[in-house]
Amino acid sequence: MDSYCSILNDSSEVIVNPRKSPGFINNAASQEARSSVYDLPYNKTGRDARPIQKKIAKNGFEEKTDSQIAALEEVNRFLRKASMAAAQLIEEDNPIEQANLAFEFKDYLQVLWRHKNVRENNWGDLLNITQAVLAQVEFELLSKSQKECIKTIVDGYLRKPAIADIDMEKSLEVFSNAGFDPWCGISGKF
Amino acid sequence: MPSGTAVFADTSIHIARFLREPQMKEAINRRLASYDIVISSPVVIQEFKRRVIHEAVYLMNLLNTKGSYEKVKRHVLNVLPEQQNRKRNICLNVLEEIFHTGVDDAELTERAKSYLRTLIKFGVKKLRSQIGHIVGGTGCYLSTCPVKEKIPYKRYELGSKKCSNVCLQCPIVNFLKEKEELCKEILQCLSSISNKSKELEVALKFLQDSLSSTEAIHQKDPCYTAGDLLIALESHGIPDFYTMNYKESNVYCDVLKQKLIVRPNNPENKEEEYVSHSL
Repeated sequence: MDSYCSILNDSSEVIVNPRKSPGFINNAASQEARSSVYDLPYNKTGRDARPIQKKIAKNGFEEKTDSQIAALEEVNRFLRKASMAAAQLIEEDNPIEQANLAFEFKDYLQVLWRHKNVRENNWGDLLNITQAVLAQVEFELLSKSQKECIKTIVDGYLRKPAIADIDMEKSLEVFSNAGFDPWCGISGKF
Repeated sequence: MPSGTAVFADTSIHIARFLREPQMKEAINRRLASYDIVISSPVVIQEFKRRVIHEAVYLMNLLNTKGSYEKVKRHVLNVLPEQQNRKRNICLNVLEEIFHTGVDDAELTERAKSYLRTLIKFGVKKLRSQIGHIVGGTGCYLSTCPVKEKIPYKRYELGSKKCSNVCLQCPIVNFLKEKEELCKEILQCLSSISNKSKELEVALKFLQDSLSSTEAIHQKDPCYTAGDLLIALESHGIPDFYTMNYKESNVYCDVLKQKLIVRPNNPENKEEEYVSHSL
């Protein structure tokens, strides 16, 4: 609707306000100039000017609540920590130090798992597989390629803004290529 | 075109490579690594989907209904018939072992569902990428039907299990016509065996029917009822056949002049090799 605002001044001149600043809206435009009804385009003082219905962001996703934002920030913080630990892991040759770093990394993943619902399903599933894979290896014996795999999983996938199905397929390949077994969590016993 | 030594791995090998204990996986990978080319076929993929992915959906449904990992484990043990239980491929017991510290039933349930979703969604794709080479074979339509996720962690569409539901899309008639001579040879061999297993009896009947008329062939659900026979036909021309099932494969490999390699169920036992009498 091409509405406009008009304000009557003392001399009865009509001033057209093209910027739609607060004033009256004449509904005549949609009713073939017969309407004498005017609308207020603003809310009363003290009221929330935003619509009451659920807020939807421009990209179509639901706007996040404060607690979700806090959880997402924590996820990102721990992903950064995990990434740093994974990078240090690659540099480390001493098996004891390597194991300590891996334990630290494992703890970060456990924090992330608590917030798995903050992210998309694929992200939680990949995190679950990463934890299962790490639970079945001796940290002191991690090879160079396995440490690089861990770093790739964190930086190349878990830190991505969204993990698509194709990313899941590739990440499973990354695990297999490094000698990890991504299906170990549902496979037969040792 | 790839060249080198080639082996055909059947469904039992692929399932074990996915879901058996680490020693078994190692033994299979060692064997497969000794070849340049690992080959499989559409019916193998279809069987993998039918045995593994359907089982994963079953367990996912149980987890959703019972809401508890422990209850599902007990349910499977108590309710499924023993024979059926032995045939199961997915082992949920491992989850509690690997996440043993401070993990409650609720978390194990979540983790099991997460794992099963990954298997349902990406299992067949992973199998395809793992195989490397897939022969055209029967062109089994069911092997190409994608798994559809309707509601994450809840509802999945796997497509039909039976050829009779997809008659129009299934090209098996042409495949059997192409392999007619081979089918006759197998039929002759099967007819001469006195003490046949139930599976071989079914295969014999299937061959007799299909050689006389291919008209109602889909109604017999060939992939479902005569899977081993079809896999054998698909593997024709590949010198080595790798399986965990000696019984039926032994007969087919003999006719197809293939070396049969049998992976025993116990990973500590050595594999056995049988050279075809016709070679």
